[in-house]
Amino acid sequence: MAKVKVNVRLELGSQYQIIIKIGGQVLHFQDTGSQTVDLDSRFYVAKIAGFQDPTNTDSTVFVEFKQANTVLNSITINDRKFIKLLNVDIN
Amino acid sequence: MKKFIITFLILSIFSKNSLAQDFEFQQKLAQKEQTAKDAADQKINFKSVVTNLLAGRYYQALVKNGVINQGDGEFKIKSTIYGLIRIFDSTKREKTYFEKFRWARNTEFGAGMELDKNNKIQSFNPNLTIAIYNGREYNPKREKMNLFDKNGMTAYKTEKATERLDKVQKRMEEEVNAISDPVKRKEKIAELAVINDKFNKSDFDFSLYKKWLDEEDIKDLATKWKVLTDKYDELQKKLSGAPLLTYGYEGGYNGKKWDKLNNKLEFLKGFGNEKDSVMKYDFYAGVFYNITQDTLNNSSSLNRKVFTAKVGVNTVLFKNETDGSSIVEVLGGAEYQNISKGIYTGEKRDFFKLDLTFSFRLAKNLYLPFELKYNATTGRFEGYLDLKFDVVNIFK
Repeated sequence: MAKVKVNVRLELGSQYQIIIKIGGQVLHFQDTGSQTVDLDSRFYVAKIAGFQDPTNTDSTVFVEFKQANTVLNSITINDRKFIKLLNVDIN
Repeated sequence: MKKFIITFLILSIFSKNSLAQDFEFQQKLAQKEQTAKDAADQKINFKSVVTNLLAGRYYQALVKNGVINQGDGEFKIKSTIYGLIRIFDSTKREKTYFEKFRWARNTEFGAGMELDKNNKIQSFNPNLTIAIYNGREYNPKREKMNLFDKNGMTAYKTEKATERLDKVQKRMEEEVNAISDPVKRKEKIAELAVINDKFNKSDFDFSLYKKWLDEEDIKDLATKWKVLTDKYDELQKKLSGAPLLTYGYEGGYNGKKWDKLNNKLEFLKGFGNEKDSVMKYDFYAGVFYNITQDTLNNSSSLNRKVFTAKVGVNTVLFKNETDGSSIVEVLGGAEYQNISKGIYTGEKRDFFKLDLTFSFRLAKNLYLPFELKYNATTGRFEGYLDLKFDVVNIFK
């Protein structure tokens, strides 16, 4: 099993709500933070869905999947409401 | 015209889009933060920053973060107060800052300064813009609703609404994990990345995953997502047309005397049919009181005083059906001008004009506004044609 750290950082905006589903596990973020999940070493597609501040500005959330010091994949989200699918390949 | 009014009033002035700070924000935030941390001690608190603003290391941090621009004999500064706070304390959570320093985001200041050969100030142009009332910013207390509480879009509801995408995840994973050849595996991952990227940039076009979803899945996803986001869309529409009142000041000091003191108060309010997804019209009103130095008059006092009042309504006539962007907009309005002091020879003290401006979108960020003005005082039509860039979007 590999330990994958999921980092979520609110870069601009007031509030957000995000769920990240990977390997059948659902992670919930409402504030900047990190959560670690145990996953087999294989390929995954992560679902990232949620909402940001509805004000018409550049609300920005950064999501990153990291194994040890290696960034597996990351995405910067500027949409106010969003659903994203992201490849995460764990060696 | 709408682009310019809204861009000028909202995005570039007091939103999170501080011009100096946020053009490069999205992609360079981490780099900027690191640069700021390198230049300024992370343990600095804001009080000490203020008291030591001119100390060398802080100055360097301001330069590196784009708040201060220094050229050959020229010095410019532009930021929201919030922008300054962020530079000197990036260790605090953005959410905390965002709510606490709402006032700081609504206050932007700037100044330009030119120095002569002896490093003495030759010209100085300060400006300040304050959003007196900004209804276009999401404020849970004011709205008396929190989108993210138990009555809003909870994590559980979000997961349930997007549940059928699990099929896509699972099947994509199976396709890749069934491949043992590393090269082919890599190619498959790249192929899926392209599809995912296309979906991620789309407007929730679930049909892009039709290879892995049937018609019922696509319909279910679209329906549930819409139900979940209805309240959000409603609030977003309300905010987009909410009232906005700003005060702006612009000064000019040139040749050892003030040659410009401009003040303006502007108001913007969207309106339209309740059934429409966005506010189709914007009501605009502005009053300007400009005190300037007549260039033909060398006296030390500011000798020309002009009061102008403008009202108008802006709407989109034609828009691109694909991305919803406007193709042709029209701003209809009127302006009244009164020159209380410093009238030129042959100039009227008061005049009233009817304005009609058509803005044609030539390219993504390029507009061609055609202004037609009828001067009711002189009985003459005046026409103006000019190219304008949507500056904020160019840099986004």
